[in-house]
Amino acid sequence: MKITCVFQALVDRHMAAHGSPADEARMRAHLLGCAECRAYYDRHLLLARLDPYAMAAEERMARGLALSRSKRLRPWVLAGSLVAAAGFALIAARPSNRTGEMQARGTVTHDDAPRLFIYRAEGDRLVPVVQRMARGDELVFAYRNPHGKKYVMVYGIDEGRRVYWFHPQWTNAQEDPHAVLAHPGSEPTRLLEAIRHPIEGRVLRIHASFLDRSVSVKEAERELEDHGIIKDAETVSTTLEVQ
Amino acid sequence: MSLANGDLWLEAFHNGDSAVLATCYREHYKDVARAVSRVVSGSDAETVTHEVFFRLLSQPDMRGGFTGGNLGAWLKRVAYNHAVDFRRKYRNEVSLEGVAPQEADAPDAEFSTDAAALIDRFRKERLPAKWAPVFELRFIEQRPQRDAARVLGIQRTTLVYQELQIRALLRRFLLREAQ
Repeated sequence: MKITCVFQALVDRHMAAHGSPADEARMRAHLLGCAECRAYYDRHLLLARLDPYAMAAEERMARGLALSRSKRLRPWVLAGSLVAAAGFALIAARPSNRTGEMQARGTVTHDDAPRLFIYRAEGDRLVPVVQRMARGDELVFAYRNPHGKKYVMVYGIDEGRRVYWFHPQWTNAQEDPHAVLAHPGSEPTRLLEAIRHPIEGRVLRIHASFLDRSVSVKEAERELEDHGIIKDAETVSTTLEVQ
Repeated sequence: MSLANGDLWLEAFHNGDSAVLATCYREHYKDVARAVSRVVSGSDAETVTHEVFFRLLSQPDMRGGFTGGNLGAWLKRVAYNHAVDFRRKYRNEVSLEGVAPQEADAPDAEFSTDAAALIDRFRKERLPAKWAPVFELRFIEQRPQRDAARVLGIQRTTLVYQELQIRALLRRFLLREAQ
């Protein structure tokens, strides 16, 4: 059995831009003398070079120098009032493990697929978000959970692989909030808060993952990093251009 | 801004003003990285690049070495020299044979022999044939998504799905299997 150097975890953390400057210093010092970790780092670099959504080296290196301008954990939360959704043209994301096609719906329908509905808060109104959003939009979400999963997580990932958490909200890096309880059924359920993130990318893929286990945001991010998905979840996704 | 402009800016630079240094980083990261990559590559190149900026941010003595003029040119010189020292000290390579001249602009690198071999292995051993066109257009040629979808005659959402699958396979191959 091959034993891997324990410092590879620091390389992983650097590449995910999760490390601290202290982590960076430890990793850099270790790389000087460890050929195995240098080779691992180089394979990460190859992956980053090929992956069209990889974080730019400049931004990744900035994190290790505490220069990053990304403030991905700063949502502004407003307690929104519940606005009647009847009559809206709802744009629903279909499950990405089915056809992956996005389509507009004229009215709410009641089939057996999970759905995510996305709106922009404009004063007291909720306006459906269709294909594109403005960088400063406060987003409101509703979902349909016909398979009765116990929990839901709503998050966005931009082309730089920055993760923006909507539900649960993650405002304190010291905490590790868990998936929110999901209401079962075919009727849309709205998540109350309108949330704005300082989206840095130009393309934001928003996901709603419905699952039966209570996953924390850090666990979810690890699974997304390792597998590209949250395991054992039904996930619906939609892609928005950010303007 | 590649030319230092005014005594006030220079004073702020020497004093380690965070906004000034952050701007230096953003404006000159690519210059430093290119200068370093003429001498060392891969993880070594990023280690040296990190070291150059770490010293710039944390050592007033280093910043004091710039007394005005073309900051970009100064940083490139510092970076190049630092990379040469690194190569001598940590890789026991005294000769500069094969190192590009300091003044030359380094062209964008092709894949190294090792990288090309890994990519080829991935194609042959892991990549399903049905996803090969997406892999070539989006991952190798780095074509924009809209272009790739048009060339392939598929919906962008279908392309996105395939990209996700390919990325997961590639990640597992490079980071877990290709030891």
